[in-house]
Amino acid sequence: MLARSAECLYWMGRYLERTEHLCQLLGVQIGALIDRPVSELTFGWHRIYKHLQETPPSGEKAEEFSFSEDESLADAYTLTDDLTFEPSNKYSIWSCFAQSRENARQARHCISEDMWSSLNLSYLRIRDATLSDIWQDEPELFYVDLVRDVNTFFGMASVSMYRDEGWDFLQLGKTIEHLQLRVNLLAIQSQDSIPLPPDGSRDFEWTSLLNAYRASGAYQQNYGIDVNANDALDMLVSNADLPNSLMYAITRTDERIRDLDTAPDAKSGDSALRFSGRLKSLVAHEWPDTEDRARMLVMIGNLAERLHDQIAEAWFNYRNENASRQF
Amino acid sequence: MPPERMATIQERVTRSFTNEGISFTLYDEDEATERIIPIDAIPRIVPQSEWLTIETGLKQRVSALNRFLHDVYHDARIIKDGVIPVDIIKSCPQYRLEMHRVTVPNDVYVGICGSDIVRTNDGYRVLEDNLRVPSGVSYMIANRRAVKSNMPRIFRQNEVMEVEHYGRNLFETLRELTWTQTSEPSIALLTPGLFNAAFYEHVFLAHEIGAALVEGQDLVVNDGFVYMRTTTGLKKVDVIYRRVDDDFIDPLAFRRDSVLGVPGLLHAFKLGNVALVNAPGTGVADDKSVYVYVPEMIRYYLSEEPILQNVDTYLCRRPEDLEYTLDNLDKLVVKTVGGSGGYGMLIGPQATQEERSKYAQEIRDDPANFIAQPLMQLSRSPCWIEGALRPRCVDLRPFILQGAETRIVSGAFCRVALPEGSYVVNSSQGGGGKDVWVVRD
Repeated sequence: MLARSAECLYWMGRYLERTEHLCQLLGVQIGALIDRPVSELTFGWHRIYKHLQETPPSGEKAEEFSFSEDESLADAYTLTDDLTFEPSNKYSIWSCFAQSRENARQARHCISEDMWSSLNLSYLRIRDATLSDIWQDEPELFYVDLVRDVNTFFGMASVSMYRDEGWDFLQLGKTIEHLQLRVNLLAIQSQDSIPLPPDGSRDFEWTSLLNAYRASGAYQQNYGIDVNANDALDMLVSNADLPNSLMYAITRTDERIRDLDTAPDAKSGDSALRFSGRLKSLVAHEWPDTEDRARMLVMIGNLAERLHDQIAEAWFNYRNENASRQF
Repeated sequence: MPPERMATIQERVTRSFTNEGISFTLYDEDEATERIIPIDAIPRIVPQSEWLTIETGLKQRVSALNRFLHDVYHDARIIKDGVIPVDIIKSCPQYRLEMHRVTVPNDVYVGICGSDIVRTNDGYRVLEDNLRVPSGVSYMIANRRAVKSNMPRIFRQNEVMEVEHYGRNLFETLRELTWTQTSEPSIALLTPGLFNAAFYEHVFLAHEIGAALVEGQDLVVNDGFVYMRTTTGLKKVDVIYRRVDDDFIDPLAFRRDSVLGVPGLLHAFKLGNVALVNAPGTGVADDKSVYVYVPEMIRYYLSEEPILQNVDTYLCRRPEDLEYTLDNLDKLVVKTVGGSGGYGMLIGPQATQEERSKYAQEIRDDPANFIAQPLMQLSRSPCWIEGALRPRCVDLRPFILQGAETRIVSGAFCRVALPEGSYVVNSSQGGGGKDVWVVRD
């Protein structure tokens, strides 16, 4: 497969995963506007911006911004707009989805008609939408629908896409993005620098995260109904059976890389394999015994970033003189 | 058919184009906009007997054009024999000295041709031959799929000739135009990229023929061979269906500032290590000044009378034609000789006096750059517009494939001038399309 087409599929997977991730977080955040205290809302916005390493439109640092009771709805509107429809924000849902479609356009000949139609229909639905269109009624439904669209796309892919390298790179992009975004979020949430809500409880932050990741049921099965921060974090990192855990994403990533043919830049390909192996071993063997979980999450995040760099070097941006030739 | 039914069909056909993103890109000064190409659901009917005339005429024409290209880049007999003035060729910017005495597979320079045909009171006439990177064939097939699926019964009843095997024909043609004629050639479709107006078509055709859709950055020339960058290394390319103009395909041979091309590509082509379809330099034969001489080429090379006639054309480089053009600007359509896409032309009868005066000055400044034609009373076809049948001007663009044999599917991209009173059918100027049904008489 053409390296650039593979890269488009890889980034299509990444942008769609990013779209889904943001929709899940924003859906929970918007739902919280109904009845949660301002302190929890503030924490939720902080969490979203900080893990994206983005600055809110007010220009305040993510750690510093705060709401008053009077302003919370107005501010929520501005922040939701920025994270949902703002084209100049590269992390807005609109930008991510539009980018996934641009990549799909370039690799349209490598995906099935069903996949393209599914993606294009969703794009047409959100292309001209504005926050004022969705804000009046039930804004959270917008995010639910878009998550469903992304899932439909991957469902279409699973039943209609030929299992060639294109499939592997699409899935690889999805799992790498999954890993990077979630590890960043968990790292932010585990750092001491985050101000606790005034009531001192961390229940909301973990409950909302479990809800966003559809992991509440699994948590109850494993730990009961009381949400404990350590247990929640443990499950979201290391439970290999939970589709939204880091371990699940790491395992799938490792499988995908092993499925690929030898990379044109074999050295970088080997490095990618080593990084994915190291990630697996870190979570499987070192995570349970570590005392500094925040530090280990940062380490996992760094490894995930380097893994992406090695994949790009090995299969997409390799030097011609390093590559083998086929006649 | 009741109007409500027709409206439903039109709505469905339009929606299918929107949903599938069958688009082209429009440019204004600031930005590129992806637009869905408008489609009219009512097919244009062409009786098979008329189609056979068109098909035979086009085969004849493409054969003569290929003979001309071979001649003009080798012995130039047609010039020496005084059939075509040398200055017309020499002044044509699309004449490529780099192609002098270069051999091409099967002596085929034009493997893919899209000729624009209009129906007049005197029968079908060729308005122009697009020999460089003709586009529109994807819309022909998309129109067919959309209309067929929404009018299945009528389609079946009329025994419409198929067009959807165009991809298969294109593959065979490209295979025949490789140097080795291998059964499984490595094919690359070279596109300028996502922002090109016809990018949808490039993707569509790459899929149809199983080609890699490459940009210049994806290809590399090494030891005189062309390779594409794949996920398993560098893979040799046998044939490139290029949708990039000559000027941009190789910065070492043509425009140095091109970032769309591949350095060394022309060298690899000249060595016979890769085939380029269409070959560089074909533009000299679709220059609008040279177009005038196509009937003469047919007589000269094939010793036959042209089956399809040209539209009457005045070459402003000739003093008497210039005088006639300037005196009758209000009756003529004037175009630049190298222009395309409907840009830069003057439709005299529809222009204001001020526009005509300004254009006249441009003609006087550089007469050789202009040709003039009478405003053709294009045939009209019924279209479903705003809930009723309305007549609109149409033309036909059939696609001719020339490999070891000549192939034409029985159908064409029918372009429609959708605005009322418009004669401009180009997609870039608000034109749309409709399916063409070639049916038994």
